[in-house]
Amino acid sequence: MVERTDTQWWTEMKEGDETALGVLLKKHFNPLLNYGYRFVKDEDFVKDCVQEVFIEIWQRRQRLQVPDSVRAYLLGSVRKKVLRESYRQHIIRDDSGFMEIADHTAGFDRSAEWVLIENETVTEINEKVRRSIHKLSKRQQEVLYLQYFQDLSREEISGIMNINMQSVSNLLQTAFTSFRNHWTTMAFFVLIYYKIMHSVCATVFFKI
Amino acid sequence: MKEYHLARDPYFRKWILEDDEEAERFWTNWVAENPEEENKVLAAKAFLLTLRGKDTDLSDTELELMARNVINQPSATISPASKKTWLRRLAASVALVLLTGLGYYVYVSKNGVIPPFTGINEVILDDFREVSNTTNALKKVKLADGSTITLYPKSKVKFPEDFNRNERSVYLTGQAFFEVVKNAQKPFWVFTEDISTQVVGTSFMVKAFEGAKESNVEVKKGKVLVYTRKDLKTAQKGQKNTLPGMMIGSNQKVSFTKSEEKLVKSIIEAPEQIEKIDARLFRLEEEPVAVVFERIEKVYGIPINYDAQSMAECYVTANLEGDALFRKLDLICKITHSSYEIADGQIIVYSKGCY
Repeated sequence: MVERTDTQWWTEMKEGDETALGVLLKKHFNPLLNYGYRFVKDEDFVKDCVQEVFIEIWQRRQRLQVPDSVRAYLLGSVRKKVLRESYRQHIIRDDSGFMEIADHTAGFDRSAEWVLIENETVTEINEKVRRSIHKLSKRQQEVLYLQYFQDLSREEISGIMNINMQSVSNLLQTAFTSFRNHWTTMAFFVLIYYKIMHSVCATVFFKI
Repeated sequence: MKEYHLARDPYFRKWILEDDEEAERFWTNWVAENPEEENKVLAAKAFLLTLRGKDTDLSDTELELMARNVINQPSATISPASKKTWLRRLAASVALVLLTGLGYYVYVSKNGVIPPFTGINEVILDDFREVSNTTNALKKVKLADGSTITLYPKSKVKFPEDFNRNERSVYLTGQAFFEVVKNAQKPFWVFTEDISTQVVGTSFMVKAFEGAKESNVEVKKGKVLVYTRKDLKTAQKGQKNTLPGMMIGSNQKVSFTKSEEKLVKSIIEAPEQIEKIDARLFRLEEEPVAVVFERIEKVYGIPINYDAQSMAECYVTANLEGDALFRKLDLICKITHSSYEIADGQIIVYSKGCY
């Protein structure tokens, strides 16, 4: 059987098909949670917000259009919901950055068994990448996040962040420039420390 | 293959983001065959994992439950008229007035009516102005409504760029003195990590440093309502109908201790006269103690509790002009053979009577 697309599931959900809603929720809930958590570092609060977005969709399903991109529509709704609710409930949003400073080293541990992992270069690279991202502005980080983690197009991003396509391009452009500059400086240090020529990070990390 | 291509490659993502074993085998082999690509793979992996950040994923069982919840949620009484939006807005503003006026708040969405996404301008949400004081001196911050904030060193405030438009809210870390312009329609809120202070028009000091064991609010003049953030949150969730705020007035103080998680009312260290009266009125000559206490209450705005009957025969002859409040009290107590203590933001005088 050919796998049904989001749009197809959405159309069936509109007809009141509970299975279709279940499929959409199960597929999208976790990435939406991940996105909401960028704004407010309170998992329960964000969970409530994402759930309310689905409740609203389910209860208003008959009057909803079929969005061009279901994922972008959901992400946009969660963004608005989280920002709006955090404002209304006077929750102080984490403004340390779009990305978290702590915690995500946890993600790196998972691949300990991977052949190449257990050496210092790996730790170095992880640390450098992390630092380069943290050097970016919140909006730059958000655009990178939406493009690479959520795998969205510029058009979808512009819809979610409510900015025009040109601004998305500009943000990505400046993010990469800054990323590149930082990365090249870092690569220089890596060279000194490991005396590894070319192969390490001397190549420009991102080109756009 | 460039790193950014890798980061968007579906099969690469399957390995990194979904922990797919087959994909992992494929990429491990691929790197073994292309050792020159090793660092690109590492960088792309680090890039994706950094973007993902904390793993907040729910399990399949939790998601299943969540889907049931969504479907079984009692349906909201939505009528497809444009009136509805207007009514909701009205409901929202009524709720806000109640919150500020009567200490009562209704959290609309928990009652099954989900507020629409529209209503609050994104610009307000995104555009916060932040002022920090990294100097060693005090820093004045003027707000759009005419209120001023005196920011102490190592402190910062955050407020919406278009302050005054909907509601006056300031987020504080550290210590600041607020002089608030009166506007009953738009209450002024100061939010800190643990406590929230609601004001109508007054001047007061908030101290809430990050990591400090205690935060407190001191009122110079006027009245404020202080809530713990926790209670406020509970109340807003509709679990409680009354807001458990603590009202304090001039020269009073509320402290919140992190360890005990409760608000304690007391008097500030050096109360000042809030009402100017003829200083000579404190040159006392055979003045009944009740009159003296009444005068002190009026001048400092702090209530004094004493047993009028047992002190009916107490008279004071002393010159208290220019003495600070506690010095005045010390002298009065000495003369009337009584003692006092401060409890719950009031002065309580104990006396065995004067004969």
